[in-house]
Amino acid sequence: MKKLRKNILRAAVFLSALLILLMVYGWIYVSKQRSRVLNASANDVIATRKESVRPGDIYDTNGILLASSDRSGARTYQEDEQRRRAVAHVLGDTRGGVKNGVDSFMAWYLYGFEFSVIDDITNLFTAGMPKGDDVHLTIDSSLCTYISTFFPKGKSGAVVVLDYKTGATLAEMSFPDFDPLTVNYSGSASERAVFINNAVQMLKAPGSTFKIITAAAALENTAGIDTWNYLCEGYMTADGKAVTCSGTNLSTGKISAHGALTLETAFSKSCNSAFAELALNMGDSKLKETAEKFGFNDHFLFSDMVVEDSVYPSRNRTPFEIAFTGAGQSALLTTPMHMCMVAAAVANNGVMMEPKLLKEAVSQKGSTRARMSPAVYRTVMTEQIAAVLKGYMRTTVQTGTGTAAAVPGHRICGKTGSAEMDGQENTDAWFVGFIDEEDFSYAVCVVIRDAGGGGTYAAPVAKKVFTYLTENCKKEK
Amino acid sequence: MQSSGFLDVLTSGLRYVFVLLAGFVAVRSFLWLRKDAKQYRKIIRRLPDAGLIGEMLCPSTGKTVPVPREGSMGRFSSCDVKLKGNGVRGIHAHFLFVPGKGLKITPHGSRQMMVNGRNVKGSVILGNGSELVLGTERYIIRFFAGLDAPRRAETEPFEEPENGEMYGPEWGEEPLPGWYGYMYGRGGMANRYPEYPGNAPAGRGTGCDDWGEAPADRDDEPADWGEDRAYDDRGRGYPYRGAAPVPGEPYVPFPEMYPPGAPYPQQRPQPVPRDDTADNWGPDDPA
Amino acid sequence: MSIQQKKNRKTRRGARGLLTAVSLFGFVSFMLLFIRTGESRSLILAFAVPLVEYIAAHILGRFFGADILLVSLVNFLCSLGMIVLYRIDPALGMRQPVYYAAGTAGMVACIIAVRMIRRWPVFIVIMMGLSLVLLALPLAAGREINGAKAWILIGGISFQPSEIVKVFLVLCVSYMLSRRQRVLSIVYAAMCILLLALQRDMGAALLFYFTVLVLIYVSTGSLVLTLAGLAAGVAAAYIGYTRFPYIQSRVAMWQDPWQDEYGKGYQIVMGLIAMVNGGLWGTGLGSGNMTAIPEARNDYIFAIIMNEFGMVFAALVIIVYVLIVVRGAMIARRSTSAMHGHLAIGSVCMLAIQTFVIIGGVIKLIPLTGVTLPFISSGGTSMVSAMCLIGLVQGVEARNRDVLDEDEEMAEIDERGART
Repeated sequence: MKKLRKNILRAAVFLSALLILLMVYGWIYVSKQRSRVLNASANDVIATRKESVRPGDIYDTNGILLASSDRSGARTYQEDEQRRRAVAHVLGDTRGGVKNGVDSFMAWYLYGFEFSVIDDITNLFTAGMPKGDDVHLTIDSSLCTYISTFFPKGKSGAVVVLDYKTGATLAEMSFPDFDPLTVNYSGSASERAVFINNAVQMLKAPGSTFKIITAAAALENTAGIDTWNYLCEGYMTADGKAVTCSGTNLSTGKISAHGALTLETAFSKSCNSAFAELALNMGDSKLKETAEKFGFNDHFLFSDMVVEDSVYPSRNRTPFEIAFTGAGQSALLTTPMHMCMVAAAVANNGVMMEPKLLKEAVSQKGSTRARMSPAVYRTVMTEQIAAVLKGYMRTTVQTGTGTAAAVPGHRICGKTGSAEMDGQENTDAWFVGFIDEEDFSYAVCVVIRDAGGGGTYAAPVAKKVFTYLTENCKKEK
Repeated sequence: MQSSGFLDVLTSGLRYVFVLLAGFVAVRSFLWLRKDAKQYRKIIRRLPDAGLIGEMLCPSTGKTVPVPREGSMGRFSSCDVKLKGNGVRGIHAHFLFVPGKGLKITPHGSRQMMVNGRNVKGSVILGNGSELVLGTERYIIRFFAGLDAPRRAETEPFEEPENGEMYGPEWGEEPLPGWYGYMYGRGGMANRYPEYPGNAPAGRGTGCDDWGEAPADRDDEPADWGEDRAYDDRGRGYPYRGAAPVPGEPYVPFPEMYPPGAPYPQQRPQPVPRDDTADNWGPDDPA
Repeated sequence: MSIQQKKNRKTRRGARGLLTAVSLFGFVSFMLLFIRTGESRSLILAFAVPLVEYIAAHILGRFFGADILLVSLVNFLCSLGMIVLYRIDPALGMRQPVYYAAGTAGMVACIIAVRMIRRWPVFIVIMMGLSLVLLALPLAAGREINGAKAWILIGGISFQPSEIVKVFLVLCVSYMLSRRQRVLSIVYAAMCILLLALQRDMGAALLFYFTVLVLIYVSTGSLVLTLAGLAAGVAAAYIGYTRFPYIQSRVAMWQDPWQDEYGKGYQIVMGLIAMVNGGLWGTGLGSGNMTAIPEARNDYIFAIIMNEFGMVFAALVIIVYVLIVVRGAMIARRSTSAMHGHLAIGSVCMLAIQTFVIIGGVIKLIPLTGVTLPFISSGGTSMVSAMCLIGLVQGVEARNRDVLDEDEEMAEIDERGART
């Protein structure tokens, strides 16, 4: 009987733990998935709410009013058209054009779902529609406006600027942009494609910017990588097919070889053959493991925004595909936001922060409903590897393919990329980089589609962004 | 959660009331559980016999172990009856008190067990005073008087007794020597009345005062049991005949029965003539 | 009267706070519903339900030896069920008190049975036979509801035999395990589970399986045996998964209901939406607009509770179930007989696992199965069987008190004897 009593106690503890698990899981689920479930198409609670509550104001990080609402509950926007267009994708619209813009994703605050009973009583006695809570974003709308002035006209793409110490998003821009006041909802499919937020929804191959991850994998897995030497002949063959460096065109017979390379110089010169060789030596599983540590194949569940999941391919892994993946092509898919997070991780000593958009949510009476709290998404690499990669990225901007991004007087690090796309005459121009200084802890990602070389087209755009940041966005201590 | 209309405000306010009430229910229930547990512990402390039916005595060491209603006996500390004799296995046997019949003992697995001299394999029902040999150690089972068990134990159908007298004397028969009779009182009770060393409390009801009569009325007061009455240093009384133990000497219950070197009696020895003048068996006529 | 009886009176007085809170909860909720809807039925219920519960608790405590704490907690859950069911559909709400009365009768019967019966084997054999017959009945002459052929129709009332067999199973397995006849108990349990699987009543099969597993651990204490049983169950589940498409679709909907939002995943999606819309404090009783979820009256009633009463309240409801488990375990540990110990822990285990399975399905922790939330869901047999299980636990507690009473009487006699 004594044993029986002991076992009964254990069984009771087990059963109680099961039930408590329910509470814990429910709590976690609600806190993580709330915004997504609120915005589900089967959920009409926001639509019903809009009839009785007018949305609160949206401010940027410096207090500039980006959107407000009038007495009838309709949204009003910034008067300056350029600014309005610059933040249109982040703000979203009220008619469901942009998926998961701030207007719908943060409806919990904007439409007053956090009203307490005191608020309800007060609202009962005030005339007119009550107003929801105001939301202060981390977006710097002046930066966004500036960026929109020099992004190549007629090209599509995205620009993302993150604070790599806290994860705050300073700019999340998608081109082509639109004006929420004049956009045409019943246009053709290509006209409505403007609603797509390329920064978080566009999944394309990252090109040579992926070499950051290949290099990280090589530094972790390949022994003797410090003394690794490679002789680049302009191309390498795997499985009968050729992976060519940029500038090499086998059909015309033009070869541009990089010569003898170490890992650092291969990185800064962005040698496809070298990285293809590295990927083959490492093997697909090791490279995939590192990529998955960086967040590929993971289902992103960020609290402030919805980012499409990046994909590391798992089918049809022939040696050629593996080699090509090392160089950043093959069936890899990623978003500009994710690559910006990758660069931010290198800058932040291997710690990838979760991108945040909400700085503060404040009720009409002034009480704070929620405040931004920086969250670590993952630690993707060790500090040593991050330091080595930082050095490589610095070399890239100083003497490698990214010199067009250099800003005199500041430590700029970066990596360029030119992603070949089927059906496009030119490659997609990619640039990811950061300012390696405490006062300006920002990471930038620029993607210009169908433009050409990353160093030629994306890096200058990034340089202008860096210049603006170093002139205007010094961080307070 | 609308934000207009008095009804909605009322509903909105009552949300907190419901949570409060539910919280109150939960908290009060939790406190109640704690109080109940404390009360229960208090009751159990006052009743050291609660849930017990008797004890097992080891004659060679004189130690006794209380026996609950059901459980296991063996060497393990998780056993309900912890026996540390020679050859007692981890879990040696399981026992279960069958009201109206006695203590049913089942050896665990293929353990060896002898009951009153016979090897047993399956379940056996023991009566008061039965002797159990686990391993090489002898134990004697004693029930509390007034327990719902006949003085003569019945046997399980598959365990045929030889002469029908394996477990105890019939009514009217002379008792076997070593037949301890029922137990009066427990250490816990007697300990509280140290000023009555010779007057161990009546125990659980009264037992038999005479081997041929029904037990006397329950509320009869126990009489003075006389100087011959043996008792151990805890004030317990053992209603058996024989000399009281000398303090300081090892406790040997029946020296005349087990002289050193004598073999274990396999046969039923001659009944020892009973001394009718000794009033050791309990309540007596006040006159 | 005996000491225990005197103590009972004291505890009944101390229980007043608890019982008052429970009754107040019922009163306030029904009054709110009355104010909102203006139906006179809710006004009647506002007074009748709390009063009846209060009186019932006192009567049960005094005359049948019921445990006041368990009765209060069960009353709380039952009144919550009545309130929410009334809010969903007043007709349902009016039927629930009838089920509650029937359940109380069953509970009393179980208390008396456990308290009085000394010789179990006869009853055990009868119950074993009856349970197998009852489980086989729907296969032969049953009605199919929601893909599970688990109901039978008798004289216009449909009931689920698996609920009755629950009680029988707990009794039989407890008896057999306490007599150390493990093989027989496993065989019997396996046969019941098999019959349920044939009926496609996966929820009940899961319930039976886990309860027997926990009882075997309690009885033997051997982790090896328990893990072996768990492995067997996982293997059986895997075989079921690969062979039966309806299980596959349930698992697929559990993994990602959003891919078929308006089709098969609709129920789960609506449950999640209800949970999130409610927020921390709920939308307020009567204010949510989610009562159109399919099966809101049985399986999904917890989603409505989360929606209208909020997550904090829902957590407190789960804590009430935890308290029932804790109390049942306390009672089991105090019992003097192994069978009663097994009985008490087996009954609360059954209730706890049922709660876990259904709430877990609603919040998408595990795939959804068709079991009801004990005491809260509508359904006569569900309420009666849950009350019977609680009745078994209270019967064990009453028996414990009886044994303690006897001991205390003996001790009193001892004391009286020693004083002279």
